[in-house]
Amino acid sequence: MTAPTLATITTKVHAGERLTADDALALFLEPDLLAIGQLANFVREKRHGDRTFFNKNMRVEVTNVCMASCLFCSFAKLEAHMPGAHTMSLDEAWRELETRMDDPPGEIHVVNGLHPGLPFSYYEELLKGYKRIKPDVHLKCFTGVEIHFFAQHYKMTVREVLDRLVLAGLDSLPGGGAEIFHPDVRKRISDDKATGDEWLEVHRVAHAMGLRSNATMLYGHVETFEHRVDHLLKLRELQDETKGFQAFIPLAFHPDGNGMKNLPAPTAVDDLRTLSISRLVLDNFDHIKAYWVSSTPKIAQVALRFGADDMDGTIVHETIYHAAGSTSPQGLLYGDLVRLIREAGRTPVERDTLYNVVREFAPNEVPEGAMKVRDRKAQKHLAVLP
Amino acid sequence: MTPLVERALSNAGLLVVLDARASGDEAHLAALRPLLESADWMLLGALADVVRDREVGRAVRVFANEPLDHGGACIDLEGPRDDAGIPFLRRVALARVFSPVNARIRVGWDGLGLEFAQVALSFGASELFGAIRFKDGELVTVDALLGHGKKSRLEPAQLVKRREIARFLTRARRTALFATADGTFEEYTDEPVATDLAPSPELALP
Repeated sequence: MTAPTLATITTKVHAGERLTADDALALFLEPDLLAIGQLANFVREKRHGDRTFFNKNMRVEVTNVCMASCLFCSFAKLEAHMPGAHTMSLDEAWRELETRMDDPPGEIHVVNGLHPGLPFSYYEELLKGYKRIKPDVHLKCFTGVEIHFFAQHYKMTVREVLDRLVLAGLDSLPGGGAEIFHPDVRKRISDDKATGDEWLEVHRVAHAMGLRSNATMLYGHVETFEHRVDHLLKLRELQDETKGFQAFIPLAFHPDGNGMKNLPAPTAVDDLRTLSISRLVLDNFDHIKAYWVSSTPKIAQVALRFGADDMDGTIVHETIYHAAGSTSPQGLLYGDLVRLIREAGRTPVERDTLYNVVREFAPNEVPEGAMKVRDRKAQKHLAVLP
Repeated sequence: MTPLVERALSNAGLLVVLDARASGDEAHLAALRPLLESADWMLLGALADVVRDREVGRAVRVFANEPLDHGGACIDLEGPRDDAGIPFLRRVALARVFSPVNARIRVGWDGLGLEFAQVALSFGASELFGAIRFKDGELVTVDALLGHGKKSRLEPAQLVKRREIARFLTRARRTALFATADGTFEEYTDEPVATDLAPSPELALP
């Protein structure tokens, strides 16, 4: 069999044929970045045209106490008494939403450390409280790793955990915790939490219950291109089986303040290449997300022509990536997202978590009161329009 | 130029730009300006990338703390981080297409950031310039040291930072040629990071 080339891969993509592991690997080694981008853009536009999705969401991290010691993490504190360790009371966590009820988010995204000292009822009450404050808010909470931890720690099956959380208000699962599935890498960077297979199993169970979820890949640390390809193919395989994933989000490793601080971070070109290849390999995923917190808003904007069709959301207050040295703003205003998307020549579409359209913007339509950035960090990244 | 890019440029009617540049027909090129200014920014970038590859190759000259004047037509593009984004990439690409043949299109990383400067290399830029700084913005002095572990393992910070810049270029599949004080260029490679977490050997794929 001859080695795949950009020409043979292009023919396959245009014919709607599935790419193989060798094809994906060849794309990682291909020097012509813009050609890969064009190919990913072809697929993106075939699926979504110019439409680019975003939502009004809010991140809450209720605890950074975590019994896992992942080398890439700058957020977690191993013990509750360590300096910087923090666990919100339920009132504090609910206040995060209450104080934003003048312009409430449509989605709350909750991701935490694996805290061994909290009762399971804490998480149930957390969700119930958010639904009490805003009954229609979508709760996208707890990674596959957290769900697996709950099952082990509170001695339940994954199904039982999810049943109880759904009863409390859980609507879907975020995609975090996937890291790199391959055991050669996972053993070295995060040995004491859910394995790749266990992460996939949590999502398999969630999908069987009718829950939707997302998937991620943390790249740019000790893994090889082969490991990235292996990761993408495992996701594609599960999606063939369940069709429960909504979006794939490649996450760039940030080295500040963690156990791999002597490794360099992936560069913008690697970000764009990985995103493009994800779009081409994951032919059964509807959406590929450019997570602006990880890559900066400007690179995420460029990524909208490298296969991405979603820019995540307003987020409001992200802490996990910022603990690892992200220089992106902690939140973007609604209008900033609209402008970033529009300046990339795309049509902004506000969605809910399940990709139902909330608002589709007409050409040149400007959202009211939008053109201010939230904080000083954001001002470094975004020009403020008059 | 890959067949995919060639087809995309042909479909957009942009291949004539390459002909006009190759023949030195400046009037024709000037007449094409409205077409290029309204062209899709990715296609414009692909066009500029082809022009850059043909005229000055894929190596990237880097002027880190060094005098900028090395002769020849040179266009410097820089600005604050607010200028990064698609409009800036369009500016870089247009500069390449409308500059004299073999021109040096140089992008400054001080304001824009190295990440964005790296992306600009795919849009026609051929050189980078800027000061070498620590993460907090402090300038790296000649006697500063950097590294992990014992003092004996520390290295000159200038060298470490140059390697970091070189890594940005090798990741973009380019060769980094750093300007030196005596007017020559020195090649830097992205040396592997000393770590026990180095990537494992080849992995068998399914």
